[in-house]
Amino acid sequence: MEISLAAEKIFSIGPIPITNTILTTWIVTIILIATAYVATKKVALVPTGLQNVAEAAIEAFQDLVFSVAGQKTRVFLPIVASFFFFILFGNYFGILPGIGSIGFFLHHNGKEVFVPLFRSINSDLNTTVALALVSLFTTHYLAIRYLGLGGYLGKFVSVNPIFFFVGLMEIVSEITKIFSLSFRLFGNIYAGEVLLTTASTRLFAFIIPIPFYFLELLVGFVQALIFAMLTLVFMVILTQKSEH
Amino acid sequence: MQILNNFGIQPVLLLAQIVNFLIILLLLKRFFYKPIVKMLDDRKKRIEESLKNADLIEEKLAQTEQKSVKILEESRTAASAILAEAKKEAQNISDQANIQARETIEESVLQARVQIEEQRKQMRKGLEQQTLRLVSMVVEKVLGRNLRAREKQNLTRDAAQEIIREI
Repeated sequence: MEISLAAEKIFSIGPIPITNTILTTWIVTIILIATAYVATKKVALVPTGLQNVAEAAIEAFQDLVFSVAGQKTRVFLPIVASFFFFILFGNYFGILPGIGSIGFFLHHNGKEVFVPLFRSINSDLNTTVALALVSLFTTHYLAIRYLGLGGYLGKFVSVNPIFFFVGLMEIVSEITKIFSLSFRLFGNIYAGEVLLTTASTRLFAFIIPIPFYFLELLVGFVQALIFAMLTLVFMVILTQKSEH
Repeated sequence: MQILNNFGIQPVLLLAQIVNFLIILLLLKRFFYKPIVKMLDDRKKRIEESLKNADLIEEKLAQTEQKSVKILEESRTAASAILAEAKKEAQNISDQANIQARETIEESVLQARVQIEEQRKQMRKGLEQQTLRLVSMVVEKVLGRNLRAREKQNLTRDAAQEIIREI
């Protein structure tokens, strides 16, 4: 069984193609929002059930963000935590049984091709690039908000020739952030998919994949955390007043 | 752009994912982080207040305890003062009663003495008269004759005096 790099199209609504990743993204979104809704349905001073979990997670995240961002925590926390929870839910949903294995066969160029109905959302570059773009644009938006347009532009443009060059490098590094963020996440999750698929073929399908599933649980968490933390750090760096 | 094609990057899909994530971001921010962060803050504030209140209550308790000890002491001294006064008063009353009783007794003793004296006098008078009569009868009988009034009187008086002296 082979996993294509690109997500497979399942059907289309008018001109918009719906791939299996988009479908999975919707499901993950619904699960995430539903979880959040249940957790905060009746927010009580004495927490019960899911509210406990949500509070523990958010408090831990708040501490983490506060240690880096300080006073900006209130603004940064929702963005950073949303990245984390969305990617985490997506990664964990992706390793559920049935994702990537339930599907149908299509005749494509005279060959029979297996098309899975669901696909781990971050094993599609569209998702990760989208996340990276959102991360980058929010970062720059916040930088303008905190520094003003002048202060923001001053980070990249300077009359001083040395700092002009530095500014140029900064611009390049901002663009590369999109690639580093998106390809890191995509690469890890896609590799995980390939690993699990390979480990689960035919004879190896029993017991052998179990350690790999644990590995993927770890990778899914770590990648979500890395994406969130990098976004946080980029935000903190870019919203700081430049000293020169 | 062959690479993008290989990876299946399509602007529409990209846009779809961006919109999807922005929706998630807004929803979570509004309905998840906000209430929970607020709840965390509220609880923190509440705990701080409770701790402060606990300190205050403890302080008040200590004060009340001190006050109650003081009140107890005061009431104890007051009670002992009242007791002492009452004892004094009782002593006074009993003293007065004693004095009064003594006076009454003395008075009644005096009265009794006077009465006795009077009775004795009356008795003596009565006895004197009876004796006089008796003596005169005896003398009449002994002498067998009637003396003259004057003699009789003298005689009787002498005899009576003698008798009285003997009595």
